[in-house]
Formats: sequence, structure tokens, C-alpha cells
Amino acid sequence: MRRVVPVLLVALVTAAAGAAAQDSQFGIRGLGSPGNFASVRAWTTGGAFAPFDGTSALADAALGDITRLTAAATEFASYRSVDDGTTSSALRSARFPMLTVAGPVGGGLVIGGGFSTFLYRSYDVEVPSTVVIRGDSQAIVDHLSSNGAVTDLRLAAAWRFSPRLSVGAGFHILTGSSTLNAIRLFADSAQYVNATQTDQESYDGVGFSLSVLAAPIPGLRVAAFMRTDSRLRSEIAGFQNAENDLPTTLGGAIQWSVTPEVRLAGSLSHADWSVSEAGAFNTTSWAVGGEFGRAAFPVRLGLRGGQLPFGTGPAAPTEFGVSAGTGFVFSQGRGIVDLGIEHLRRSGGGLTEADWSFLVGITVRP
Amino acid sequence: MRLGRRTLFALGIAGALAACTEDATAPGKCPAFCPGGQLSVVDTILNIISRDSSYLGYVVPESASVMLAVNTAGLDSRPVFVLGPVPNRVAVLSTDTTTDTSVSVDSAILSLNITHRDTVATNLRVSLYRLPLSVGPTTTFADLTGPFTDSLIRTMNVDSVAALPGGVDSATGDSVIFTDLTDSSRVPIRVVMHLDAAQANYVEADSGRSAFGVRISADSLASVAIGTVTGGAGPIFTWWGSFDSSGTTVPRAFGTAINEFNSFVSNTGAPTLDSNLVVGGVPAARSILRFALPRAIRDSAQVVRATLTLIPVAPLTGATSDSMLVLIYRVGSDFGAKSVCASVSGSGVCPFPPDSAYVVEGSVPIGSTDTLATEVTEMVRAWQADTTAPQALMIRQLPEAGTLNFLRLYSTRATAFRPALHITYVPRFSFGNPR
Repeated sequence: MRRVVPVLLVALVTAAAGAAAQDSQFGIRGLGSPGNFASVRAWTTGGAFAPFDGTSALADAALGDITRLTAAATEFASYRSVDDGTTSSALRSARFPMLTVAGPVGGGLVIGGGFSTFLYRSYDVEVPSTVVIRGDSQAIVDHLSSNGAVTDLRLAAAWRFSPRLSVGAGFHILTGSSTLNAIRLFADSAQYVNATQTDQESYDGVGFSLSVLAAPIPGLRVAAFMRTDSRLRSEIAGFQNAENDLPTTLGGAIQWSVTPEVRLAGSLSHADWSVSEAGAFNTTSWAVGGEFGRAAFPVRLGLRGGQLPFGTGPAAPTEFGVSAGTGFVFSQGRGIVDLGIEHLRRSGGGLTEADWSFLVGITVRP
Repeated sequence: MRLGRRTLFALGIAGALAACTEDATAPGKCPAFCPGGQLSVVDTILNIISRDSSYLGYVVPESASVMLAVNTAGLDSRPVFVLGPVPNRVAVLSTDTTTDTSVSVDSAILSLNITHRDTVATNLRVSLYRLPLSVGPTTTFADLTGPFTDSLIRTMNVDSVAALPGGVDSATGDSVIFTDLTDSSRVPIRVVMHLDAAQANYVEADSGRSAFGVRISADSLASVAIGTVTGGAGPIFTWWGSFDSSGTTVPRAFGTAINEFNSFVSNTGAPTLDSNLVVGGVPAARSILRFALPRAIRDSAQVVRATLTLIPVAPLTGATSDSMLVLIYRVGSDFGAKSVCASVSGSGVCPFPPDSAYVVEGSVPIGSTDTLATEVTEMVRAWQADTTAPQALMIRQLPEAGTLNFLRLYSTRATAFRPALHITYVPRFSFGNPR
């Protein structure tokens, strides 16, 4: 275990100097790339621990496990290569996708909230081509880019009926904006002036989530969660340019504490993204993972896979990820730093993405 | 080990924070993995000139920056200038507190700055004539036929003198100096002509006030422009005399005459206005084109290229070097004939090229009827940026009254040949749903 940590950290530091992005190419033609509502701790178990993790934003009932005021933040740097069969490009990005704050108010009631990224909507596509203008062929390069996201502002509460049962509910406001750019560059800059169009697109919508967390037998916990959102409305310059229905997500998970130092979990969820627009796919995602060792310095491993909602062709694009991580508790448990790494591979429609994400999570419990 | 773990965690966090840079540009695999919609380009010729007009009389010969001397292709133009009186007195020695009158007026030196000429012309000769002192703004070409026939003072072969070592004719004292050594075409020259006492003819009663005329000739392409006081390079006429200095006769320059009047007379008439557009000529004419850019383009599209096309009615005639330069200004305020150009920060000063948001330059060769196509992209984009600005362009010659030619262009009244704006634009891109 002591060898694993240095390896993870050295890999993180080394990779940070060079370059990938979570904003998958598979979200460009659709509403975006769905976010991951897991904290770094849960993320590095493939997301399998997210329904049982109070600092994740997936299942509100998990807030019931929080016994003191807790704030958690997630940051990741992503280095991605995209291969369309003919060309390959390396991309990188950094994101701050989630912040949660929660604390008990008494009587078994815990209130929490924060923000998380609901849909990543950043991309920059470069399309070189040639057009005939005034009888002459002109070399051009089009840049179509978006920089922004749909953000989920969450207010949630969990009520712990007993040590064996918690229920939670949350209200979600979807907001955020993207800066959209359409640029045409002309190779013959002496004759033609480049065209640049910039718009600001804003989003709104609301959602509601319910979840339940139960411990039927000692060491075993099960969770069920659902979320439904109304629609995503998009505006440019005050005028609505799109309105898309959003999916209902249903999921379940199971967690088994084999021993105090071995904890395993698995989860399954389904979202009917096909309601959002023609050509979108319903998705089913799964995750399995484990946390091993002392709570003060664990090793986490995870696998996840499933489908992506937006892509071309008759079948949904798929993704498969492997993750690992650890955590470091300090100041008598008031602070936790979680570190992780994930390798994700997405493919579909002739496009393959290979993504390395380096994750940092900070949890503060004053 | 505890310290080691902390250090590694700190390094890890620092590394992750250091990764906060983006490189999100990927080659697009379109249409599968590109946003919906495509950027497009529209190229069209718009006959959107709502009104066009020509106006006369902007620059008259006596206020031009050059005096035109032309003797080719049936064109005949002759510079005329009047030099003010010069008192025939001078302090002979620098220590003298009084002035003396000359014993005799011996000579004069005339310098003419030729700012424009055809370097292909050979045997360029400058002939100087004495004119009556009554020469003025109302004097016509016909009025001076007599003096230009019988009052020749002398003729200088400019090419011959220029070919001499140092450009100096030691016999006459004449010289030719290339005034702009940075100009590889060696166009600008100063012609220095020495006149003896009889040629200079200092008339005491007029205190030396004189009037001269110039004609030029050459084997061909005889067309030059001589600088004026308005242009900052007027004729310089210096009188020389002999003075008595304690019994010894010494030569002294006793004065340089002030230019009272610089102008030229020609056998071409002023441009006349008809149903066409007129630019240039003497006195100078200007034309104004007023546009009505469609709102769909003005408000939503991005103009990537705009070309103003103008079709000459007839070819220009004259020496090859007389090709006409025209400036096309963006109009800042449209007051008809008194319209002013758009100026930087409202300074009121018309900019010069290459500030293409305000002015662009075009050239009309002699003998050509090719369409005059001038790029006005930045000006059209300026109309988009300021929708309250007049959508108008003013066309004028550079310099005005700089050639005898004037350009006659088809106007909107000639349906088949009217001016047009050839415009290429990118329509507004729809990002879609919400792509």
C-alpha cells in the first residue's frame, strides 16, 4: 500500500505537466456529457460508493451518514486523446465539478446542498476545408466551440429514521451558461476578413430526487435512488433557442463491509435520455469497487461501464473505466484529502477516446 | 515516512492545480461529432446604391498642390507664377548697419521642384516665358497665347543636364538634382535654371516683381507636375547683384522673391456634370455613393469581403504616368457637396491609406476601361459597427487637380453598368438545440 501512493502521486505530477478532457466528443451533438455526481472517494471506486457517500450528490439519503458539518470539493485534470480512425489529437482540461456542504440539524435530519456539473458543454472543434468564393478556391478553417456547463444547484435533506433506514429528497435547479463561438478563418487574410460570432447561451430547468438507504443486516447496505428533471431550456440573447426534456434516472446499489478494512460496493442505474431529443439513447451504467485498509489511509479501486446518451449510429456509444485512489486524513479527522486516477475509454461511431483523469478531493469538517 | 506522505500529497495537489490549463481543440469529424449546422458563405453582387451624386469645384488650379505642365495627347497645360517684389538693397558686409543698392542686377536663379514626371520621357525640356504681371485667377489659356508665343526667355534640356557629371552644366550654371535619394524611380527632381541679367530683367519700377510661364516638351510623354507653395515646394527665385564694398565690387544675393500666385492654364475645360459620376479634373470633382445595406446583412451577418465596382464610361487619356489615383473615403457626415469624411476619433482630419476603415486607394490606368474594383471591406464593417453612421462613400482624386484628366463613371442611372457592391458574408450561425 505504501508503494501504491507514491506511484499514484508521481503519475499525477508527471502528467500534470503535459495534457485530456472530461468534455467528451460524444456530447457535442447532443445536450452534453453527463456529469459524475461522485466525490473523489466514490469516483475512485468506479462510482459504486456514490449512493452511500454523503459528500457525493447522487443519493440524498446518504446525507444521513453525516454527523457534523462537512464541506467537500472535487477537482480534476483530464488528459484525453481522441482518435477518429484517421487523425488523433491530444486534449486537456481542468474542471471543478462539485462542491457539497451538509450538516445535521437535529432529530436525525441532515440538510445539505451545493453544486455539481449536470452536463459538460465544453468543446472546440476545428474543421479545415475549402470553399469556392468568387470563382476561386479558398482554404478555410472553421472553429466551433463552447465553453461552459449546465450546473445543478441542489438543496437536499435526509432523515435517518433509525440506524438501519434513511430517506432523502432533493430539489435541483439547473442553471449555468456557455460561451459559444463560431469562427471562420481564411487562409487568404489579405482578401478576406475572418468571421467571428460569439453568443452566450444560458440554461434553466428544475429537478427532484428521492432516495432510500437501508441496512437490512449488519455489514450490508442497500440503496435505491431516482431523479427526474423537467426540461432544459436554453436561451441566447434572451430568446429561447431550444427546449429539451430531461431523463428520469433510476438506480440501485449495494455495499458490503466484509471486514472493517474491506468494503465492497456495486451499483446499477438507468436513465431514459431518449426523451431529450431524436437520436439520443437510453443509458444503463454499472460500477463495482472496493475500499481497502484503514480509513485513515485506504486504497480504493473501481470499475465502471455503461452507455453514453449521445452519439451517431444505431447503437449508443459505450464507456469503460478503471480507477484507483487513496485518502489522507489530517487534523484529527477535520480534513481529508482524497487523490485518484481514472482511465476511461469511450467508443462509438468510429470515434475512440482514451482519457486519463487525475482527481483531487478536499473534505473539511470543522 | 509521515513527512514523506505529506510531501507527496502536497506535490500531488500542486500538480493537479498546475494542470489547470486547457487545450480543447480537436479536429472535427463532421457531421457526426460536430455541432449541428455549418458555417456558410454567401457571395452576392448588390445593387444597393440608393443615390449617387457628383459635385464640382473642390480644388481650383491656384489652390492645387501642383502646377501641371503637359504637352502630349492634345493636352496642353502651362504653369504660371507671379513673384513678389524684392528690394534691391543688401547689407554688403555682415557688420554693416546700413544697406546699399546694387551697382547692377547681374542674374537670378530659378528652382522648380518637379514632383511627378514620366521617367520614360526623353529630351524633357523646360521653357521659361515672361508673362504680364496681370496674370491671376481669371487668366485663361487663351489670354496667354501671345506671351507664350513671343516671350520665351530660355529653354533648358533637363535630361541633358541630368546626364552631366554631378548634374551640373558648368557653362550655364544650370543643374538637376534628384531630391529624393530613397526613391528608386528617381522621379522627384529639382531643376535649377540660371538667368543672366537680361533674362532675369529686374525692373526697378516694379522692385523686380515678375511673372513667368513654363512650357515643357519632350520626344513623348511630356507631362510633369511642378510643386507649388500650397504643396510645400513652390518655385524659388533668387536675385543676384554686384555691390560696392569699399571700392571693390562684390556679388551678393539680395533677395528671394515671394510667390504671390501659383497656378496653371490649360486647353482642357472643367469637367461637366451629366448623368454619370465624375471624379478628378480641374477644378476637381467628387462623387458620393449612398448605400442601403440590407438589414439582414447589416445586423446579423459578418462581412468578410466587400468590393466596390465602378465602370468607367471612357478611358483616360494622357501620359502613362498620368494614371489617376483615387481615394474612396467613408463619409462621416452626409451634407451633399459639403460632406466630410469619417475621421479618427472625430478629429476632422481625413485619414490617408492604409487605414482601410476610413479610406482606400484605387488606381485607374491611362487608356483602360477595366472595371475599377476596390476593396471596401473594413468600411462596410464599420457601417455594421455603427448603424447610425451614413452608409456613404466619397470618391476623389489624389491629389485633387493633380492631372488634367477626369474620370467619368457610370452611375445608377445606367442600369447595365451601374456601381455595385460585391459582398461576401457569413450569415449568422445557429448554434441550435442547444448545440
